[in-house]
Amino acid sequence: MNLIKRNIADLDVYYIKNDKFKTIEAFFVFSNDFSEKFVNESTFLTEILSDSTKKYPSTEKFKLVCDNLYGLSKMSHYHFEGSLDITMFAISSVNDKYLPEKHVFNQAFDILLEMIYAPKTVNAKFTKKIVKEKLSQAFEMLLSIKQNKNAYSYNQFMKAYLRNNTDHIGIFPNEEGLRDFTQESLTKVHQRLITEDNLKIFIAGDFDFSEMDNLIETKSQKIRNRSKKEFAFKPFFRSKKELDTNLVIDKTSSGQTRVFIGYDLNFPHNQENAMTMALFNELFGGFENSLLFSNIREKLHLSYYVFSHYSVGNHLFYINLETTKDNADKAINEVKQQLLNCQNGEIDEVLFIQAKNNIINRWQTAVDSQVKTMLYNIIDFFRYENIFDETEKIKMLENITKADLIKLINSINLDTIYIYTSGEY
Amino acid sequence: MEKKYILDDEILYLETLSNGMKVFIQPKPKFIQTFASLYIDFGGRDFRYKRNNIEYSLPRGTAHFLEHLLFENNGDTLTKNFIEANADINAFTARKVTSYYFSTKNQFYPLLLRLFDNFVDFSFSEKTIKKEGKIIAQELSMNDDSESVKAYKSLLRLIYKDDSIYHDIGGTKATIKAIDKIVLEQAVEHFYHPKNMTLLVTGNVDPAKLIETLNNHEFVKKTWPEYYPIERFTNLADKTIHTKRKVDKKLETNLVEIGIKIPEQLFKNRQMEHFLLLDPFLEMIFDPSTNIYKTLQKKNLYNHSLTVTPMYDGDYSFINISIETKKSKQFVKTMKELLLEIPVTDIPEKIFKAFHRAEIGRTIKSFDDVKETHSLLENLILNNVDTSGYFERKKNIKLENFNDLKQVFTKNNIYLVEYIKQS
Repeated sequence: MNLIKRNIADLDVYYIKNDKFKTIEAFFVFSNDFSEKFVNESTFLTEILSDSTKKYPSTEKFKLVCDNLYGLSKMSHYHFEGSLDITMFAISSVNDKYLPEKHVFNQAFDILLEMIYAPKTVNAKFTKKIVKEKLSQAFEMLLSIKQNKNAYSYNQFMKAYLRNNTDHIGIFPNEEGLRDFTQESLTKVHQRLITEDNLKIFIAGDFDFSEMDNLIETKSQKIRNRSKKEFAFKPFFRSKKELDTNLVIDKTSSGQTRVFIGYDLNFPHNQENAMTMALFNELFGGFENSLLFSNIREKLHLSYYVFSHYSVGNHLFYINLETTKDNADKAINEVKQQLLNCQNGEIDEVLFIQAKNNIINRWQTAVDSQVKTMLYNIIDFFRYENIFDETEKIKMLENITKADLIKLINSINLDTIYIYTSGEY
Repeated sequence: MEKKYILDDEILYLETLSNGMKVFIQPKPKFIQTFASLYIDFGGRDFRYKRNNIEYSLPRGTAHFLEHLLFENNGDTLTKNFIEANADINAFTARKVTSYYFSTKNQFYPLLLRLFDNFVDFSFSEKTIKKEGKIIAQELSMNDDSESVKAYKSLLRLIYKDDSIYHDIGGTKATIKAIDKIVLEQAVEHFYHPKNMTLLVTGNVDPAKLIETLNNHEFVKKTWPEYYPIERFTNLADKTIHTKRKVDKKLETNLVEIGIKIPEQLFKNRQMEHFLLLDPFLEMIFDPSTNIYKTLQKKNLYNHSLTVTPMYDGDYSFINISIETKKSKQFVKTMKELLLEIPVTDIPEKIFKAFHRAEIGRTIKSFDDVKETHSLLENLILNNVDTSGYFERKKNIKLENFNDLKQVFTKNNIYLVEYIKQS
């Protein structure tokens, strides 16, 4: 499924054409420089916009119109990817070809535009009521996060790992930022989105190009965004301040001990290094035959789960496991030892190939999901200004040697150990 | 082979093999992946049962323990071949069923045969039993500090007398200690029989070739011992106490779990009916267009943690409403009032019509993704719902079909658990 670029009414539009699926997906993807200050506003905005519009001013009316369009699904999402704020609005509509009536996609596209460009406002501002409602929900959510020990320990670890450097966290809800969440700040973020953000439109499905061109052309007047500014993706690099390992022991747990181990990735971020690191992540703790899983769970029986995570966009690498209080040190030492072994070149050839094949398999099977294919394309587009070229990516991955990998992981240094445990640890 | 049209271009094949195992196949030739699930009618509830007029018991957690062990049956590691073929293999144990499933884009037939190699003979070493016991003990500890899991379990205990509903599927650290070779042999003999198994395959497969492949396998060719169906009884008697309140200083916020018990006559021998109606009913009742949602919004009682979940396990059914909120007192009062209004409130015609059109779209979409199709069919098969009649019936649901469900919202059917943060 290739990405085909079109320029329609001065808009950047990308088509992914296929006849495999019975739905058409349309994504409006907005990007801008990451602004930690507006994480709350950006997240709430996606919720508010997908809940009602000026034309359909209540959740009831908006849902009714979507249901009547044969269950039109709408999605909105905000996240940050390295240095970029990315806000997506999407619809998934059953293709007219499979429905008893025509022009359903046309109407669905109008809904998408309504959602982004014609929100329910009073005097061009979001209402006090919605701000109050969202604030109340956010405070409830903060308590729920504290109550959920997995979410709580992850958040605490991230704060320690990133040294409370909020420029790099962007966790929602941002408790401090809630004080500044107002009608004005919300309206400002919406204005910024539709006037300053870069917009790219992605459409996937079985459709005629010229018909789709015409449809977009006709509706282009409604698309107020005309900013042509491109925002370059830069992954975050954590600035390491201390030489010693940052050890945080939180003794407030009343259950199992949760361990997070974060590493400093001391190498430049580029597509090749990111792919090599993703390969290492896979073989180290990415699947059920990985080094950590085989040793910590299957051989030493220290934990039911143990996984490693590599966040490409934020250039982070960490391990997460759950164990008994008595076994926590043993598990941590085993993680350290396994990494040391790899850094010393002890990587099994079969596992190395296996990890490569797993990643290739994931890319190849993405074609069974139109949404997944779309998201792979969007992510690669923002990260590398490249289309998701499966063949090229596979070639690149296959060319990575064990020596390349060992060289790269020798730049990994232990940074933070966070242990969420009970009383007398 | 029986051939059933689910939609105009979606066909389901059904075959019963000579050893008694049922096979469902839904070919999806445009997709590159294939999903296969083998279901054993043996789950967390089966610690007490009758077979051939004899009463038996097993330590709680046996089905789940056996699921773990099956990955190392006969001293071989099941995952090995699958990992080599880049296939994903896993398993789960639910209250009613154990499922072994895999998905792959390569070597589907060899992998299917490898899966069935595991179900011909059974032998587990003491070492493996001990090892898995340790891993399962870790698994069972994982929710020790989850107050929401505890509150939900309390709700189950409050609604039901039957311990097969509220006990942990995996058992406890104490019960799994009692699982040894003898216990496992009994479980295998009574439950791991082809007549007690169902296979579902969705994806890029040829139904005839699949059946032929299975027929040539020892799993089908072997002479199996006589099968005795398992008899179970679920005690659904009403309970007198309907509320539980616990004050706890460990909590950060209050937890509310509400259960609305659905009387047995609404689902006994009416699986398809109940399966068809329960989800859409809740969707319409708790829809943003309804009074319930609007009132909660208006009183500022709605938040992201609110969930409304239909629960139907064949032999029992209830509706679960759950929320984490500081305003639990107001929430409970308002929600109770709203629930008791349901029997006398009409579902607006326009909501129902829109819902109907949405259902047409959703059905088409559910066959647009091989994984989703597989999971939809799994749900139908495990609930004994006729897969071909289901979609036809779905198209013809009428508003009045929901009348019986509306009447379950009575004081007698409502149960409440509150975990309150100690101030």
